[in-house]
Amino acid sequence: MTARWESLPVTRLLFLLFLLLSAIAYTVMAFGMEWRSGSGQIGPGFFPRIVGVVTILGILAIAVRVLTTRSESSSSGSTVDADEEAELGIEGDGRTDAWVTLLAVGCMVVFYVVFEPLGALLASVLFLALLLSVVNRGHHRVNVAVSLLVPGGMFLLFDVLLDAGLPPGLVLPPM
Amino acid sequence: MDVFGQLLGGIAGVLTPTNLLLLAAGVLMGMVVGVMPGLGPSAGLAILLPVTFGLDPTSAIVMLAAVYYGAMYGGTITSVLINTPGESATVATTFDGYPMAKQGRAGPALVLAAVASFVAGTIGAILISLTAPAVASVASTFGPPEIFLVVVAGLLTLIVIVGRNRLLGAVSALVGFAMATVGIDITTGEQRYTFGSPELIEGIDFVPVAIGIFGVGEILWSLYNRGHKQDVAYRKVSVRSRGFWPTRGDWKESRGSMGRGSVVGFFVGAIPGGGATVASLMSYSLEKGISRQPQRFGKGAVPGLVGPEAANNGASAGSMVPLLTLGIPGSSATAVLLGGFLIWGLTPGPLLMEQEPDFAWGLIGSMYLGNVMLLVLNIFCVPAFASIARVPFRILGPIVIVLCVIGSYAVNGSIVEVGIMLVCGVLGFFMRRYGFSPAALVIALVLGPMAEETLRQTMLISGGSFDIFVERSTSLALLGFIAVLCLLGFAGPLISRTVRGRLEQRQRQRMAESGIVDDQAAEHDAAEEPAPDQRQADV
Repeated sequence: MTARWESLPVTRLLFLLFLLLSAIAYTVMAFGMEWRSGSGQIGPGFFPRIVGVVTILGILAIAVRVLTTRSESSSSGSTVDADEEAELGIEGDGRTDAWVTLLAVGCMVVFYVVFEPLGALLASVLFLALLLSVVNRGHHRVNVAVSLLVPGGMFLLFDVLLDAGLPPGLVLPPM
Repeated sequence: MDVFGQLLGGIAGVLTPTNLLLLAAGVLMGMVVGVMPGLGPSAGLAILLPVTFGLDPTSAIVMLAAVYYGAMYGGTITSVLINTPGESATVATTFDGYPMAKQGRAGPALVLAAVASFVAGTIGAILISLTAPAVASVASTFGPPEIFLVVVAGLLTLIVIVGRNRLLGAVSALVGFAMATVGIDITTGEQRYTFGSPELIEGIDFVPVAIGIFGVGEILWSLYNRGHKQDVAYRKVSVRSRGFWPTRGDWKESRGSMGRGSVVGFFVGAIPGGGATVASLMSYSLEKGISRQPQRFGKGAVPGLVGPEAANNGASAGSMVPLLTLGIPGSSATAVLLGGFLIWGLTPGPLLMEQEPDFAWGLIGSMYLGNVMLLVLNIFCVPAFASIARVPFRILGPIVIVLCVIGSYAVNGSIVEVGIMLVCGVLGFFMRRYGFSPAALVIALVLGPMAEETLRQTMLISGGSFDIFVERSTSLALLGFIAVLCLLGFAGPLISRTVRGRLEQRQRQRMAESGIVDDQAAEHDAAEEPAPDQRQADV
């Protein structure tokens, strides 16, 4: 029993759970909308209800498939999920780096939070400096040069040439 | 004759100095994005779409067509030089392109690939000119019920053809549909899933979603797969070196393959969901199947390079047929183009060629000119772009994320859209991680409003009765087609296993006859099969 539990693809199931909960919330809200309008036409809830219900069923079917494939492989003594990944149409991922991915997402969150307060230019410099220090460790000179030059170039392209109106933030006056 | 006149008119219409500059800039930018690992035409188009917002629609589409081809060719450069396909459509290019580079023939490989792309673009432009007006004239008789069914059929084709797991593809499309329902309901004016946010009243904009899923999602995926720790085995290429140009034998050997690849690519690309990946792999199999020396494939055979290259470009041209005539994007890249059309106030569909002929033929003309520009620039700039491929991903990846953030902010000046883009980036990463189809999501997001609107119109016409779908002969025919697609969904794997088994058996027999050892064939077949995930990525 313990072995079977340990062999569960936890992150995959968590992702499916996230999708399922989102789909349930979506469907509950859809059922709060009209199925048909007063004039007998399709109401605002028509499409969302169908989409919501079918999505829930689809996610449940995927979850059942993941669990049954897993239990079959654990009952046959195999803990390797290569067969299941092939069955589900996924790359066997070999060596992976979840921590760097997580750190990159963290840097993106910081980038998002400071984008308007600091301005596009400074926020980009900060983001590049942070992420490059993680993924390009030890190459300080290159990291500093890229962190300063690239945001400058992009700011010139989007704000000056294309007049995109990027947030000026605290440092630069609005262009 | 008239259609060729319209094509020539379209080409002449976009032949202004400004447009030529935009073509050159588009090809260059597309190639820059295309040589970055993981970023293909759809990512290139999504990331660079905001750059075109300051232009008029014709100039913008000229530039995007150039970006499309440039990005496609960028993938070829990395496939040949570093054995890393920029995106799945160029996977087949690695089979013989990289062995050629290893033999010191990177120059001929890149030149032949560019010429194959050009030939396919030319044949594609001619075939579009012949087929698009015919399809459009049939499609112009379609009413809302037929258009609704065409949208459903388009999505079903996408799910049935693409990927090994149709359930994951279907759920991906449903998530896209769900996202498409956010915003104000046009008929009743009721807000759906806006949570009081004024930014969401007009719905979730397609551009940040596409940028997030194709741009940020791919970067996160590459980081997860330790792309930042990989150093590439780079093959040098120089225009000045003696062996840069293909030999007479190379040209002779590649003529037939280019023609076959172009035609196969066009027709496969014209099927929604067919896409450049399927076309290039089919072309590779075809070339190997008809070759007198199949044992050379995988070791630097010229037909194994030019056939798939022509096919993936032919498919790009073919995918324009359903886009222009039905408003159905056949691939993720054309979905991004469709998003661009809608932003510029143009609605692709049967009436586009009638009501906006200058634009429609201008687009076809600019696609052709994009190929010409690609050929010209490629010959002079290959070494420069090849050097971009040498910049490690650990530096390019973070730069692309900054470009994605600034690009998505530039669309509407909205920080909420930047947030949506980043969330979609993370979603795109998990979708790739667990085998879902990001492309199906994006295509459904584009098609969702169209499906809902046409269904509403259908119900208005019929007074709320679904019988209308079986009362009209065209609708009935489309329903029959959908039923066949559903059947294929169930029976497809069985048919494909049987056909593949027979083909492998025949191949083994041929190889045995020509004295090839079995294990060589097996090794070769293994190389031929791309990662299923890669196949799914292109759609």
